[in-house]
Amino acid sequence: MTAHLAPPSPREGPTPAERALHRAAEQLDQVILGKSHQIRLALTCLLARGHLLIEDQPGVGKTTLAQALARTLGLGFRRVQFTSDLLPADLLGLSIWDAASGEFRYQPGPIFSEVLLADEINRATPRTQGALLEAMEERQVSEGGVTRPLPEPFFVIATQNPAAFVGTSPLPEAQLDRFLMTVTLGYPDVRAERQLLEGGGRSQSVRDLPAVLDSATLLSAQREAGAVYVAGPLLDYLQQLARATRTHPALSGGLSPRALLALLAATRAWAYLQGRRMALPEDVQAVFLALATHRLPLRDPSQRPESVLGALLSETPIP
Amino acid sequence: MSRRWGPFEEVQLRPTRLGLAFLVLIVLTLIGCVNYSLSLGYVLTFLLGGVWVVTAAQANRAARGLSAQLSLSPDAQAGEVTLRAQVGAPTGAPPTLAGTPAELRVLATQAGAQTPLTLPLRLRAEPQTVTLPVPGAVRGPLELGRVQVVVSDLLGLWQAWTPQAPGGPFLIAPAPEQTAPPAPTVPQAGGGQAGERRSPGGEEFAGLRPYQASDGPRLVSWRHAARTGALVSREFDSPVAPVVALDWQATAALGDPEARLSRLSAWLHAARAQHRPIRLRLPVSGAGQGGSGPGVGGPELSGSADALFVPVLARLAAQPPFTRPAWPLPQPGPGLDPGALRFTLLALGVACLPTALRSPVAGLLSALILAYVWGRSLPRSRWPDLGPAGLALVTVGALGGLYGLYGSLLGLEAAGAALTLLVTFKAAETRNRHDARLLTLLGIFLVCTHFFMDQGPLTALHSLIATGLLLAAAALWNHVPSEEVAPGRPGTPRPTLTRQLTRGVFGAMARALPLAALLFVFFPRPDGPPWRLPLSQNSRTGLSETITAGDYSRLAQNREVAFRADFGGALPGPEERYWRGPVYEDFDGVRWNQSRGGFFPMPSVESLTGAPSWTYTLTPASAQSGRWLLALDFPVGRPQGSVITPGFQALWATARPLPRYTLQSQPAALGRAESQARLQLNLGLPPGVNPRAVTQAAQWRTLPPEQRVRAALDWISQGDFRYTLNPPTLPEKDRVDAFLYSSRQGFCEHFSSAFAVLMRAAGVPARIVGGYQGGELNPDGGYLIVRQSDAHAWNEVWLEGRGWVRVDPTAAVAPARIRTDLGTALAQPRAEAPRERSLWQRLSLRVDALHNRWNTWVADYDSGRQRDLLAGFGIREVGSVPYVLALGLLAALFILPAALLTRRPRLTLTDPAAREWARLSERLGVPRAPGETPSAYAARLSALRPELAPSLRRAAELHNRLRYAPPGAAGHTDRAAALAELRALVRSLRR
Repeated sequence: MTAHLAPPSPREGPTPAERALHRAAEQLDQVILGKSHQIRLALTCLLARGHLLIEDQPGVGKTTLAQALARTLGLGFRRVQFTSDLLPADLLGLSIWDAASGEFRYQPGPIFSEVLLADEINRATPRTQGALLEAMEERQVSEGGVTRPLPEPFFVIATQNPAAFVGTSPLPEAQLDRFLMTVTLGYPDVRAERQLLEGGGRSQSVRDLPAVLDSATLLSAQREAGAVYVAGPLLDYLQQLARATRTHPALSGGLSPRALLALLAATRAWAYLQGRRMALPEDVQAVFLALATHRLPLRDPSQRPESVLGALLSETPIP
Repeated sequence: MSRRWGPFEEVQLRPTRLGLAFLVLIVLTLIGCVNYSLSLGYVLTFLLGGVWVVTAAQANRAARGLSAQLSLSPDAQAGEVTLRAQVGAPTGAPPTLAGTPAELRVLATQAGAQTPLTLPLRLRAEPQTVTLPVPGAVRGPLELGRVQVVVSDLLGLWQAWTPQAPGGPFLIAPAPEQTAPPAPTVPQAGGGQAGERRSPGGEEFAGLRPYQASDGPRLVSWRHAARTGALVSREFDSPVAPVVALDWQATAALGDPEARLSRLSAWLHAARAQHRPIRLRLPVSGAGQGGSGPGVGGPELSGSADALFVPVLARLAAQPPFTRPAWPLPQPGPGLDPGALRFTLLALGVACLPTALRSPVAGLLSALILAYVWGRSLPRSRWPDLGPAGLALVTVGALGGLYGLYGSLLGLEAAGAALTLLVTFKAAETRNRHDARLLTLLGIFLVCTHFFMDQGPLTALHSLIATGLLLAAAALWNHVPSEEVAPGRPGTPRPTLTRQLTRGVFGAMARALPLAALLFVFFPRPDGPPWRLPLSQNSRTGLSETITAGDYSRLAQNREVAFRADFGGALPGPEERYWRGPVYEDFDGVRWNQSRGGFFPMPSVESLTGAPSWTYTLTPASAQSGRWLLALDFPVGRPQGSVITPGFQALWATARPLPRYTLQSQPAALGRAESQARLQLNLGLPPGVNPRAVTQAAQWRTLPPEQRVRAALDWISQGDFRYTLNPPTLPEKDRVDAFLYSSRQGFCEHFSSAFAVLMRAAGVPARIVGGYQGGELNPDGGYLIVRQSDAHAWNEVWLEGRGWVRVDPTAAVAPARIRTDLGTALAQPRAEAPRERSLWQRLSLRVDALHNRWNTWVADYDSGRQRDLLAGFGIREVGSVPYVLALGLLAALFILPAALLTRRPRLTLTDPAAREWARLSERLGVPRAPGETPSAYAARLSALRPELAPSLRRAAELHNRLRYAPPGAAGHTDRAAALAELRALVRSLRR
């Protein structure tokens, strides 16, 4: 599969990667019921080479989403349950003295996987969290003086439970910034829940999911998503949104330039997922909340970020 | 969340206190103008009215789209509460309005007590964040009602605002008690930090100890046991954390709930500073105190102080009951700005100039006072403060001086001078901004009073400039107070600001001009005044009631314009231009008087058929030109309010002569039937006076009457008489004899007087008629200028069968006086043509033409002129239906552009697709939300109008393709086609 270097014309048909992604999304819809938007956000995140943070109560399907995503995309998947005694070495791997060969042998940790599910990330010590987040940003692991690149694609899905904060180390804002998006799954609606109850446990079906993509296809999809055209007026819109967050009275800070770049990448990926080769304002609006919620701390903790940011979105004029 | 981008905000507009004062000024000057028919006053009044309207539009425009959102930091504490306000940029204001002073107003409410809060700020082109302190805020919820960003116009006559959603309620936390005792703590395992007191149990390895029977196998350190053989147990412990107990009950000793909450707050702060865990226990609010306030949850809360700081503060803040003492009173405003004061003084000085020119004493006094105020405003001034008492003393003294000078303070000049003085004293007495702004209005009033004296073009120019400067001063005062606000932002330098404001004020005046002109033309002009002030009496020049020696020669040296006569076409010849004034019939030997007492019937007047008739309009130069209508013989058509006496004088019968009047004259045979009594009066000579003249005239008695007249004229013309302005002084006794037989030098009064005596002695009834003769034709305007120097006296004799016949003995001596003008006649009495006009004279004629036009259309625009003008448009009567219609139409014509100008300007869309999309929402009549994408809008509208769904979807798609597709993807022709399709689609959509 070769990447398109020039922007593809909108009149060309969907590429194989696009078709495969579409199938993957449909398959995921079958597994996780009634969460189509979140599934697409997760895929967007993956396409934009970002990492995903799922914030929710236990039992709403965080792990299922991560597992189903990995299997459907045909990616290697590992899960690490974060606890307070998890050490960086447990994650990154460590060099062990091999008496037979008389030298240190590196035993890779679970991070050397294409999809890593970091469950309850806020349970770990800041040190371990820091190691993970550094690896996420650098996409490589340095251990014992040797730097080892992580596989491509590399996608971290972290989960945390915002309600139970006793005995946890919440991620600082700077580290939250490493995650491209935060997604809240929430309870399924009545119809989806009923379907769930009638269809039996989901984990069962997750294991049997066929792989729809492979990593090579995903990589080319990532490249294609990065080539989605963003017109000048849309860049104006992004800047206006950023300016609006920076002067908004309910927010104590605005979007950073890095966050703006992330928003641009996510916008492209979302447009690509919609089968378009040009980004539209609605693409920006679709990803904005997921992207901005964890980056923009509210002044007044009693307000809900979704309502503040939603109002901001509806008030900022589209140029 | 308030709507910050509502597309149709409602702007509220209200005049300020200054605006009301301005309105009062307008009404006052209008009353004055109506009362005294001050045409220029009307101009200024209507101009002020126009400014009043223009500024309203300005304020309205500036307030469009202004928004304010208030927020409060969640840990705000009682005593030092500062609100943050995000003030949006006005959407309707042109960029020139940036920097316009505005005010953020909030009505703060706590526990039922309200106080207004204001924060001066300046409009900016982009949104800005300002801080608004809330002095005296106490613990509890703070509600912010009536949030307004009030904008004023340039002058501060209006305030306009867009209503905003109320802010809050915000919770204000109790201020921590300063001298609080240390917080009570209760120990709790597990929550502490390394290095603190430790307690057994927990998770951290503490050491080894010998095995005890109760130790479980997991506690045994088997590695140790394997090495040593002895059983050793591991020991664990954990740091003990003292939990800070924020217990309501623990503060019971304080009694006052506020003090108790303050102490809890202090403990909370201390716990946070030490990173301790806390446990909060508050009483559940009682049943009688209403429900729990916002943020109040369960009664107990525990956890780390860092995490719980804000929620706990909120609970403390929301703990009822709420009480608050009265709000502190607002601080008085800043003092006088010296720069603005000096500019105001300058403007006042300009306003006082005409008074100074007319009354140097008052001018000097005013200048002294203004200089005093100026000097006091300088930095490090050592000028003494007179104080109110000293000022009052000086005022009374100055007014007393004026009284001494003029003998009254009620005369026109005296009152003007007194008013000027009083206004300048007010300048010295100006203590605050409000006074200063009122002072500028007083100055404008002063400017209006100058119209009593003069309504010439120069006065008009002066009043425009002075009014503009005074309004600029008012604008400066409007801008000044917020100068100290907005710290960290360098204010506009004062000279630049002043220049900007002056330009703005003159711009506003220019924009007010159409309305002013409209009102000037159409505003109904009443004919008579309801009441009058005594105007000046002793400054009259002109014809007098009696003739004594020197009256006319004195008058003839005065080059002032007496009146102007406009014939609107052909003029009568120079020999016909006898402007008839008083008739002198009663001779006492020295003085000629008008006939007093005795009733004479009206003599006959027979029009001469075929004689040319003249219609002309006279405009006396000053309103005090006397009772006579200076008519040519014989006035058959006269204005209302005038009468004809039996002596054929046209007189005003009303107290108030018209400033302009139109007469129609036609030569007629006058007094063929005349009463004997009148003829006897006109033959009367005091006995024994002028014996030589009487003796000489008696010789002609044998001739027929007409021959007697001829003989006398011949005798005079051949008698070597000289026509001069400076005759030698003659004795009172037998004055005519002295003139006729010795001096032989005289002016018209001498000749007419001598001629009348000769005629009476010869038995022909004769009298003297005064008035003006001649007049200078202004080639620029086609009208005659008659000056005081054209004053003339001539004779009328009564001849049987012909009636009263005009005879001019002066013409017999100096025919040039009649044919040309006085100057020529004095130099060459027999000249045929006037001397060549000098350049200076030609220039002054041109200026006079301008002046005449000014008078015609501005200064003397009155009800008559108005009627003439309106009649030209087919409107007969002021107040009639067509008049009202025309007025309404013109007002609409004026208001329309103003309304268009003040309309919310559209976003300037350069992209054609974006423009089409904007047009689409306009055509459908459903405004687009700012953050609504075209597709979302199309979807929303499709739900409302399902029949339009395909078109809308297609339009959105086209719009998106045109705006967001890569440029290379579709060719130019494709683009053009797509745009054309979008355009066609938009055209096809209707609401």
